[in-house]
Amino acid sequence: MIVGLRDASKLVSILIISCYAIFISSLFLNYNMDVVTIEEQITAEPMKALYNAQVSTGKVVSAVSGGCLLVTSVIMLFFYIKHYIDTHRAELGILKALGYSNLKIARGFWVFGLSVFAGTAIGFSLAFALLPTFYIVMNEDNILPDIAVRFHPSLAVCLVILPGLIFSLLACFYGYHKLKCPALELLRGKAEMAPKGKPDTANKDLPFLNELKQSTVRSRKSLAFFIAFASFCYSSTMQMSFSMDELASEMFAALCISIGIILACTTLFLAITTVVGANTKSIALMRAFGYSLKDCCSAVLNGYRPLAYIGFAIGTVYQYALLKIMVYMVFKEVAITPDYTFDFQALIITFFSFVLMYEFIMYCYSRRIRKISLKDIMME
Amino acid sequence: MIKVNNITKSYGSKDNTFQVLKRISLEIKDEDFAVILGASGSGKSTLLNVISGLERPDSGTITYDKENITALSDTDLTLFRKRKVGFIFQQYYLLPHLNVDKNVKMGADLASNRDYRKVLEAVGLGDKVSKFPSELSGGEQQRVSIARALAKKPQVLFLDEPTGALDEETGRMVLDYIYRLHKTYSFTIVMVTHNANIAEMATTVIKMNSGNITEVFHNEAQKTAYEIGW
Repeated sequence: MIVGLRDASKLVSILIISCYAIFISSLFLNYNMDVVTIEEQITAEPMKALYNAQVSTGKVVSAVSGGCLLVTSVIMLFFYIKHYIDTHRAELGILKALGYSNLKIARGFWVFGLSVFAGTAIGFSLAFALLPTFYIVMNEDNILPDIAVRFHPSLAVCLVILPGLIFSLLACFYGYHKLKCPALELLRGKAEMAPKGKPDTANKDLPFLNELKQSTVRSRKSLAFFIAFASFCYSSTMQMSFSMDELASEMFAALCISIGIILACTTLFLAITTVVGANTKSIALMRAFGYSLKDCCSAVLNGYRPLAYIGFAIGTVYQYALLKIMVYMVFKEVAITPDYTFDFQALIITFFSFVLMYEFIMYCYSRRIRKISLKDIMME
Repeated sequence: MIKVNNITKSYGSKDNTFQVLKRISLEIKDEDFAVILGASGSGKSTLLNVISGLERPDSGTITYDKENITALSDTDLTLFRKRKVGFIFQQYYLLPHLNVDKNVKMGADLASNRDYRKVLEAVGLGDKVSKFPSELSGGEQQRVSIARALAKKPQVLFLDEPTGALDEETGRMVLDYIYRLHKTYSFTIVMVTHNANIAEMATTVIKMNSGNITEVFHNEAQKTAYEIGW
């Protein structure tokens, strides 16, 4: 096996995200499939309105949260496979040089799909265990008749087995695509190549630390995206949860907050771990030359801070627009449409909690940077 | 003057320790060109790491003039390296996403050296400042690392097998640059090598074997990079 189970186990972030995506989707889709059985018993107008609102909510929540989280998982999977190829290029290059075909090597990448399968299986099981409570909460005013929890094998196939298979196939295809390069290029190391585009001469007289800060961000744009995305998720879901409390229920608010925190933390963890890992040599060399720990942290980590705050700002605008649309869609057939306005208090609370979380994570990684020594690099 | 007094260094766990340096003592004078010569596994690179403040010895002292670096805290040791030493490694360790100019600036900024481009001219790379490391040959990359080390105006330059990854012609050229720059800038050189021919360029030769210094001698006349064998 070219890619071992140990490599797949490093995709904990994908496991967590896919687990959460399927957990939420299973709750609402199972409810929507079961609620159909009482459709004939719904005759009164208030019951019909609630029924329609709940079905619409289920569809929107499954599509938005489940869909977004699964798309994030796909992006993370691709990112991780690319990172795996970058960090194992010598081994892969030797295999290619020895005559292994791209297909044969890429076939081993199916193991990465296991993390998704494990995540979806856990998410589905958790959701099924929670369904009786969920059904009670959904009908806590007893407006609708009682709904029995049923197991839908088709849902299990679509939400557990299919994602695992699709992600395994995606991993193989993407791996195959990334391996389509000469064996020598892998052996010599493509990552060490010069940055693409015209040579940068505009910032010729910037101090070295500023140059390094900028080049660190420029050299790995995908990581910049992940950090902005993490802030975006935190900002939008946290602020949305405050409004959910008024527009929907406390359960929705709790789901929203947990999605935001899980997405933001796992994405930030993945991105910053990769940033520090990719810059280990630079940090070790800077420490050897006499740069202080503060300088090293500043050069490697601080370049991403503006992007994190930009992501936060976009998330604020996004959640406001999304809620406006959702309120319109879900309540368009209901006589009394709730009034939704921008919540400045939610913005302030979310912003300060974000600053605390982000700076705490940066502090933890600066402690990790402290432990990097030139000796480890020289022993490679 | 660098004074090394009774230093020891071991690696491994409690049950399986390996002593790499066994009570080493030596002196290196200012502006000296010292070569530490030994076979692979003799402890020469560990000695260089310990003398330069990259690693701490298990026991013994290392003093630069009157400053005992073994007693310094991690922060002060970093400051010491910033003020006094430069490094050139066998593997260059250039930053791949920065061009030649910016790689050299890494050393220059530590010494607030605004004339660092003169060093780039001195190593013959004045026309390659905007090139990236991957666009340079091995010899050119090593010359960038020489310029980077010298741009920080070190009092002591440590070199660990600087020609180990180079062919004879390029290796001689790199050594020639080091030799001439040493004469121009008058810093102290401590170079580790396994090549006995290179030791003929030194003023002081320290021979090592199995963690011990077996011989220290002074060359009466230094040879240039093009006068030594290979």
